[in-house]
Amino acid sequence: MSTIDNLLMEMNEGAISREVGLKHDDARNRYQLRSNVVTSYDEFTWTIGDYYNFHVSFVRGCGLMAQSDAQAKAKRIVEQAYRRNNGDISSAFRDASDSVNSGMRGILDKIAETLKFEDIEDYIKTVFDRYVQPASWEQKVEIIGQFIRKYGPVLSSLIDVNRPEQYAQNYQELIRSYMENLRKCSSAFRRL
Amino acid sequence: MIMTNQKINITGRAATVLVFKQDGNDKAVVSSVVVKTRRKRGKKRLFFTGQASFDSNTVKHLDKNILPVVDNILRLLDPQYKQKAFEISIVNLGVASALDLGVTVSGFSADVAVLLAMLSAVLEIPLAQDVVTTGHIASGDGDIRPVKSIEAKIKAAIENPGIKTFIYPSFDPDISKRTLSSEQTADEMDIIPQAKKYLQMIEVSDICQLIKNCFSCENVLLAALGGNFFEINGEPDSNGSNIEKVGYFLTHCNEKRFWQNVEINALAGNCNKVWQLLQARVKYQICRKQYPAEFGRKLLQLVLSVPPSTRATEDFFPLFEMKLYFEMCQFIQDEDCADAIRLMDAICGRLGPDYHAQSIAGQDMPVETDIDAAVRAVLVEISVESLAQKVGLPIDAARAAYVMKAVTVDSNTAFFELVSAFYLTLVRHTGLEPASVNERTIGAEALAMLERAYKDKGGIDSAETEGRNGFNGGMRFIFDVMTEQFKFEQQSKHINSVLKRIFNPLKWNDRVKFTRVFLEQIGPQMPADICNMPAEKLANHFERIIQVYSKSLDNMKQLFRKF
Repeated sequence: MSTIDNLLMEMNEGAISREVGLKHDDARNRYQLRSNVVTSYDEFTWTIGDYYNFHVSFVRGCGLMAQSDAQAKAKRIVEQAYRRNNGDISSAFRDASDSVNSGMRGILDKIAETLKFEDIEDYIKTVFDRYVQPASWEQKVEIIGQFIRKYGPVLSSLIDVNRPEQYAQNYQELIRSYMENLRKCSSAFRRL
Repeated sequence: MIMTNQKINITGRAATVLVFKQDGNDKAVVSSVVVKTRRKRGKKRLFFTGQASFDSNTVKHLDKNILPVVDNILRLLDPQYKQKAFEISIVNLGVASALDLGVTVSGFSADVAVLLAMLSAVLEIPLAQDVVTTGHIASGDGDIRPVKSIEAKIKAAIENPGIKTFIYPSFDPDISKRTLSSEQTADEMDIIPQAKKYLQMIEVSDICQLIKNCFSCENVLLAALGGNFFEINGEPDSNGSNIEKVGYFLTHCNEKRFWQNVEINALAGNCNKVWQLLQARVKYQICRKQYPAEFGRKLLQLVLSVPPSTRATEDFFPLFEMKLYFEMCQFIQDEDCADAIRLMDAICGRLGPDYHAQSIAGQDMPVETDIDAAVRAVLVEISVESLAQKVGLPIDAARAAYVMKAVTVDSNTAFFELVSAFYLTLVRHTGLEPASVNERTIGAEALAMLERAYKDKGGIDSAETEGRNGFNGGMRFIFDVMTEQFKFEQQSKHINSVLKRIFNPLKWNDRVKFTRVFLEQIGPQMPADICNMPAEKLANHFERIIQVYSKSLDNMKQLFRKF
């Protein structure tokens, strides 16, 4: 198999879920919440910190970090997740207090999804770096060359298979986009 | 009647921090107050043993203030409660001995630890040893007030690796705070946020908050079953008495609490805990010579809702001793016969074909006669907060507590069993059980719901593929999708039932009147052409209008929640 085949094989959704995703889903699924609402901000931060600690130690197989560090990291994630909808940590606390928007469960889901997403990103970057050294122009040209020779004609007639240098700088973006579209296609096929 | 009345020499052990002076500085050491119960002979009720001595004022305070609080709580659990005597000692003062210091416990800061150890001893509720408490019980009703040297105590707790939680008196601005110097108060206020880096810090202002944080629900349940206060079902105290609140906490809804705890432990695969709880419950029923109504049905449904992989654990079955089952069956009445068979099936894990569950009718909402109030009531009833509280919360809580060992399955059968088990959990938590349930009907209902939930995602086949390969989160994702679908359906049903209950009985004139009141209420916010519309024109579509209006209010509320 060529280098591009190996790289794509390591980046398909099955490999990503096997290598990274399932561990995170498993961690989320094993954490039992005894109450879906909290009664104070201290309880809220303690619970998200406890979950963060559990999730990370389960996925990485490492020991627990100090509760205060775990709380800080968990708060950062929750804050970021809520900021995407113009909210903040107070909005998260409100949700956790009255169980609106799935309450504490929804907040832990957000932490789990963020940790999973970050790990997947790290995995993809590592795979790229293993096949193509970020500083090597030649390797970039070679990998994108293999890619467009294999898929270029199928993707667009505008792609010039003889000038891989033109695309070498954006090789990651192109391959990721191809994989993402492949994922969407298979997802659509599964719905049929 | 509290069975522990007959028992003696039960030990309660509560961790606290003692402070003594060395070279003019406060030195604090984590220690434990140990209390044993004794049969009361004569008037004296407090006995002190061990190397630490208690200052005479402290002894007087314990006798006059702490003992009555303990007695009053115990009297709520058993009106025939007989006063007990207590033997109190302090352990782990090795550090003090090494420094050649004679330790005398003075002041009131060990009040809460002594109270907890006494209750722990009498009620046989073990206390976590990684929780340290300090605080002064300042009234006969169990108000807790600040104590001195909090800073030294917190530092001692932080330095002790075995301590995880520190429970301290609330520093709310009240008169008691004036007894501390401003400098001292400032230090104490500073140390608490710093301590949160190392310890879980819990602030309490009365004994009810204290007890809720120190006695776990499971241990309270076991104590209630062992001490025969399981079925007291206390009422919340309208006067706000702290002692009544403690009684309420220890006794209210124990039946519900029992099933919740059995379920949580069963889902987590804590077979020992499940065994312990069920054994205690059955022994309790045997003592009372009573077979609990519907016990078999409830247990069988609970067992069926546990993931099959968890049920397959070696120690899961039998759920409790068969010997006890037969003992309890002596007390069955004619109407319990079928239930006793179901109970046997549940205990042994014979999750065979048919059993029946009684339907539980939904709660009725009072029909409002005053139109103005009814409009408000409808808007409240279908608001996002109400839907979250009444419909969403139990469903989300059920999902949040549902844990399992793997997120993928390896066969069709495993997939369908798991989906059915999870569906049953959702159904059980809503309290809206189908009239007749057997494994086949549950399975069919579960699949029908999964089909609806996966309508835009490729249907059941796609869900099954997801369950097998876990590309998007496997069973975790499927359960989340099912939860959202179930919640959506239950919320829609709730909204429909509220609207139907209010509007269906109304005559045409009343509907028009209703619409007019509603338009008057929202009038100032609406464009003039809508305000001027005749109420008769809108009355036919009133249910739809009120839903849209409520939805738009919810959107605004969601926006406000962000700030």
